[in-house]
Amino acid sequence: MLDLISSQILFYASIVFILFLPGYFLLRTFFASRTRTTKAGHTNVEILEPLEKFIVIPGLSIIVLDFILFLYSKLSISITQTSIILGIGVFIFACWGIRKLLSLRAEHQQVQASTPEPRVSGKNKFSQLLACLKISSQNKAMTEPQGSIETIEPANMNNLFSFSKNQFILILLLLFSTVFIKTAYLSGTVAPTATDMGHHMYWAKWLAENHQLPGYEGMPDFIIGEHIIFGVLSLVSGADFFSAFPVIILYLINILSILTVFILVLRVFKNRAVAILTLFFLGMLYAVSSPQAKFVSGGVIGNVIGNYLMPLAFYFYYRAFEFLNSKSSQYPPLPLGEDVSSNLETGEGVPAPAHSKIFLSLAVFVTFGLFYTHHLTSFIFLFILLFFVPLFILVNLKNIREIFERAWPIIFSPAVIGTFALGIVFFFFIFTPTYVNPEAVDTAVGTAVKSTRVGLTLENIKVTVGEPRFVLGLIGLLLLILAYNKTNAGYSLVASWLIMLFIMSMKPRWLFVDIPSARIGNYLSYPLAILSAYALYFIFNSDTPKLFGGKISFRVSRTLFAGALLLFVIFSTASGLDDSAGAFKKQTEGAQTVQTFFASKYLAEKASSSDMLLKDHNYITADSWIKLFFMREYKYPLSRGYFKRYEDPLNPREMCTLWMIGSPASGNSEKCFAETGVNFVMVNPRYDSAQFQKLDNFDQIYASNEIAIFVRTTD
Amino acid sequence: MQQRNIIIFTIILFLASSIWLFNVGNKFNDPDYQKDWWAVYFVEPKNDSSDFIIENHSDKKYFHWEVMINKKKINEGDVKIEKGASSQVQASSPESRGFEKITIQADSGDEKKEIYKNL
Repeated sequence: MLDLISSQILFYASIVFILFLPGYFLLRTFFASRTRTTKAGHTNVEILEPLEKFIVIPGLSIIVLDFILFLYSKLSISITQTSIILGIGVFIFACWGIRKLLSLRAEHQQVQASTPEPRVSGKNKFSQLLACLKISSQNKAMTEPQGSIETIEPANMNNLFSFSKNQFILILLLLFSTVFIKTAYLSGTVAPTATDMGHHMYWAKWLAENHQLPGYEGMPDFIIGEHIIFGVLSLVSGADFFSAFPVIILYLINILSILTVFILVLRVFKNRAVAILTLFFLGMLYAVSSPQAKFVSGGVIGNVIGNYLMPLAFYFYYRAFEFLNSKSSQYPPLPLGEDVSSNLETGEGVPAPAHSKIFLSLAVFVTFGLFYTHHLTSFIFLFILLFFVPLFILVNLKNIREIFERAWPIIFSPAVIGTFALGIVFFFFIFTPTYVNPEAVDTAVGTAVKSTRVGLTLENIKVTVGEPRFVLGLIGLLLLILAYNKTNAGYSLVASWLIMLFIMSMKPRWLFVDIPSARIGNYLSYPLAILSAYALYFIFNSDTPKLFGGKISFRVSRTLFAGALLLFVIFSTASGLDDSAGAFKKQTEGAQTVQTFFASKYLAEKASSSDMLLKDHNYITADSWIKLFFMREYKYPLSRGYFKRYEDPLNPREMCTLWMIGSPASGNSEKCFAETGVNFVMVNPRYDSAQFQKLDNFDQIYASNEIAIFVRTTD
Repeated sequence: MQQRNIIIFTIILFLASSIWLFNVGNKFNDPDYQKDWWAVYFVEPKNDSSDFIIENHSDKKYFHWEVMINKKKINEGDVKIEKGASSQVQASSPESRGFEKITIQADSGDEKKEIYKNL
């Protein structure tokens, strides 16, 4: 009992140390409380609210950890508990040191800055641009010390996170419901049975046991960012890969991904109700279906982390260009230190350009983290970005020159360029992901031929994301277009997010995307949840923006509104919760899994390095975890896959694994046994024992209800 | 203050649910907790030794075993094994040398399991 408690304490302490401290110190270096000058005088304003920090810090920590380990890999430093603690310690110390240096420099500058910075006239665009660049280089956003930036946060900035009592209670209730439903589902699926989780945990264990980053035996299917966090947590806390810890970490990341969308929506729409409704549509409803709790228990690690890092990147990109959300004709002059609050169209949430540089740097940093974590999400992220940029330019065509002039010093600031350059150096010279090769690109790009890759139907998507979200989401997109806020990059971002995912999942051929469409379709739930929330709020709130500049607005009696709203919520809730309830029907297979593990442990102790095992994937529970008992190589033991895979004409594969179990006495099998060296076969006795028991050259050495092990004797 | 409360509430929710999930996971991995299975296997899978182990994770306690050479019983015995325990039986015998097949049958009530080696 004492062991259990101490191991739990160590686990949570490791989470704090690994998932919170690096990100916290990284943020603290650049985002401490700052004193700003407002019209009303001096006030302390947090550029990132505490809730935002809490949500973004783990994402940044994950990426910081990745980069520390990449450096270790390049320098051939062994990855151990000590080196991890030291690495994070050095990083924290470096952040603290930089912060101190900046403070000292700030004090020095304050002494010197007795004369104000000359203002840029703005008469000549070219000279304005040059002045801007000059100021940009002088400004050095990333090294801006406390109290040195005289920028304005709008007066009502903080109000965005000041919820009414009812809103506050609703947020807590939604969080509770979300966690409760997910936990209830995971209680039945937390056991180490999922195939994908087994594959991924092999590499995480490999990292922990070999004290270096895996090379994946040349396979492009796995990406390092999927495994570092698990390997490191196991090394530092001693957590067992067969315990619930992998699921719990993914669960934490899943919750953070939902909260990230919450703060993104809050920032984009500057509306607490829409953000809370998003929590409802993304958190509580469909809390179990893919890509939520099902992906968590299934160990779809790349998607789960990707669904956190992609919105996180969007959040930072949005914050970087949030200041563009102002009337183009009233864009403030370029230099920092201007009071921009009077020029805002909405009068809310506009960071000063200096912070934009930091936000953009963090966005670039998170983007690299995403590329180090999941290729599919990165691929989707690129496509969304490719849609977003022209869309934003198109809708702002009239003011594009001014926008570029404003964005230019942000994009080409030393901080952003430096972060990008660092990322590129790491990506191509320090640690290159295995998927960066022409073959992997060929796999994802091209004209789709397989039926699973030619696109989903609307019906498929409706089933994937849930009917209420599907319908409301599309209405939300329509309303968003009708009430488009051109200069709010968030509008273009949300629209691009949904439209691009629709194209990629329904018409992949248009974009030469050759990826299973269902996998892309799972990403739709995020933008659809946002737009469902937007639609629901828009339709049922009389204060919503008026369409076409106020020419069209909804005017229906409040009673009708309330009734319709209630119906919508009941319909959505029933559908969303029913989806979750359906998933609970699946029961765990505890006894079967334990038998697989006991038999594997037995064989791992008895088999020598020259022995070759073949096991069955069709009828053995948790068979993908067998490799964790042997830890020889990823493809050990050999596996008889799903039967349908042997019949796929588009992807012909070896037949030996099928023949050696199905008909071990056949000529083909004899040849296969000789070629592969297979001498142990692990099968489910209810399905595959008889064919071996008939043969004299097979001994049955292990028998339990679920597992039979045969050893092939030499004739 | 509100934000701090939301953060604390989220942390408490995560702590409570993760401790619960750890507990569920531990029970799941416990070979005896709400499980009913047993296994029989050779101590040495690849040599001629016939020694075997009966491992019990069921509610049954009494096991009967038989050793057969070419389907002819040469030895038998009973063994009591508590749930969570296992028992090793020395079944290797000089009698088995020179014969083709040695079979171990173990049963407990209505459930029978068999392992064998072709010698």
